Amino acid sequence: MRMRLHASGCYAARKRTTLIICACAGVLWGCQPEKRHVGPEAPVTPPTSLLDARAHLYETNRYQMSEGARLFRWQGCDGCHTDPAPGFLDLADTRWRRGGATAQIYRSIAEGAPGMPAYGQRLPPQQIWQVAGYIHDLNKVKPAQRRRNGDALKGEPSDARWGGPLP
Amino acid sequence: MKPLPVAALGGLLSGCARQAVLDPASDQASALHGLLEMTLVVCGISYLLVMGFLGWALWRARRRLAEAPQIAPDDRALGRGLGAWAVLMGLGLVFVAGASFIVDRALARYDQATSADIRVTAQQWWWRLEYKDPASGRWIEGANELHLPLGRPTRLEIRSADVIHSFWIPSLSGKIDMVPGRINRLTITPRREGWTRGQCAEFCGLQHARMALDVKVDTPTAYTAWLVDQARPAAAARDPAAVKGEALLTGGACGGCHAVRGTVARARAGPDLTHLASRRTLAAGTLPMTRASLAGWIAQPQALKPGAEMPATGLSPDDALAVVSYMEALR
Repeated sequence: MRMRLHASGCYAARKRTTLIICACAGVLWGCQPEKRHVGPEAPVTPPTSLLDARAHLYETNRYQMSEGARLFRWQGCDGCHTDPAPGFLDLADTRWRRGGATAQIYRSIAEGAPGMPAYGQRLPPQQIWQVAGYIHDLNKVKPAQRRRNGDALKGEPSDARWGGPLP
Repeated sequence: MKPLPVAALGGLLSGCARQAVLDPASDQASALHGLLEMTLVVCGISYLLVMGFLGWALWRARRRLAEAPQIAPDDRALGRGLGAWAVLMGLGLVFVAGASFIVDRALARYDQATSADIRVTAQQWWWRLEYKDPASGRWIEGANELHLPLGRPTRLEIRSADVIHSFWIPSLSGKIDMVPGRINRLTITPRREGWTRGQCAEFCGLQHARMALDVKVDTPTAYTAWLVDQARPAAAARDPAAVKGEALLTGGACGGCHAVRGTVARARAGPDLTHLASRRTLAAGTLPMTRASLAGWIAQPQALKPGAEMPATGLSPDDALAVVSYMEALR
């Protein structure tokens, strides 16, 4: 009798374990890596309008945003747009003087602003798209994470001031 | 054996000669190759002995299938045989471990110097190479093509600027990891003149496979002459197309990441272009250095090496060809 009870308890436990494993496998099955638009399909021309649908490729793609963050540092944008930055230099406060759509940010970077150089000749369109995509949602990245990202990029080469990787 | 498979095998092996552990061309690689051969011999003998005894036992068993197996626990000959076998295997292992230790120590002794002749910095997905000018002590920057003097121990400083890579020139040395925030050291004493090839040996991202390194071993005099040539700044462009290309390249977006010494382009994010056309390949071994490759590379790099940091330049065809003419003149 005791034997049989034990056996049925064991059976129930095994059934539960199987169910849990199946559920986990089902959840993992649904996971997909983010698609990286790195091939020639990524746009290489400036936005055609403020509603250019290609902005979506850069606004929502973590890889493109991280490339934007990298260029933000390489180009020295963080020299003025520090974190946190005073007044209108703050890009993470959701207040925009010249529009906050990715295509509008693209225009601000490419054409420059009073006190800010135009980057249209310094960066190819693809890279301006990446930086614009990064800035577009900067407020959604926590300050601590932005700092951490900045630290991670510290040893990376950039302009003529770069003195080699750390240390 | 039939001649065709043998010829095919020979063809395959000779194809490996450019980049092969079994084709050592330096003191360090020869030491490792000797160790490999010795280990192969020791392990091979053990393997053949085991297989021989197994075959013998099976053969005996077939003959005496009808009889019941006879193993007496107090069979002294069997005990002695097994003891001798254990001692033999133990000796083999000690021999291999000892030889490995000795070779490893001998290689480590090379790498105790704290100064370096060449700095190698890995980046996604190319190699930054800086050569110390023995005369002035200045560092001369190049990329993706490593030149080494024949017969001289050259000390390399191995670094990474982003993720973990691994420096591996199979014919010249063992692998060494390139870890961000850390300096590793490696000494190579090449013993054969000519070209060989290296490859990143640690998965480092999308274009890990297209992160190759051309290696050229020169005679010491040729090496010195080459270094003097690399040290000079880029010559000013002469023909009209190249003049236009120079203005576009150094004053435009290219100068935001690349340097051409002697011009206003001085950024260091990408490879130094001062002597670009003197190299054998483009984009870390991805393409041969031809006019077509250069044009394709600046027009649509993401089609040739998807994920590389190089963006499409977005230049008009005329401008792009002018830039290519200038790049070809950067010898």
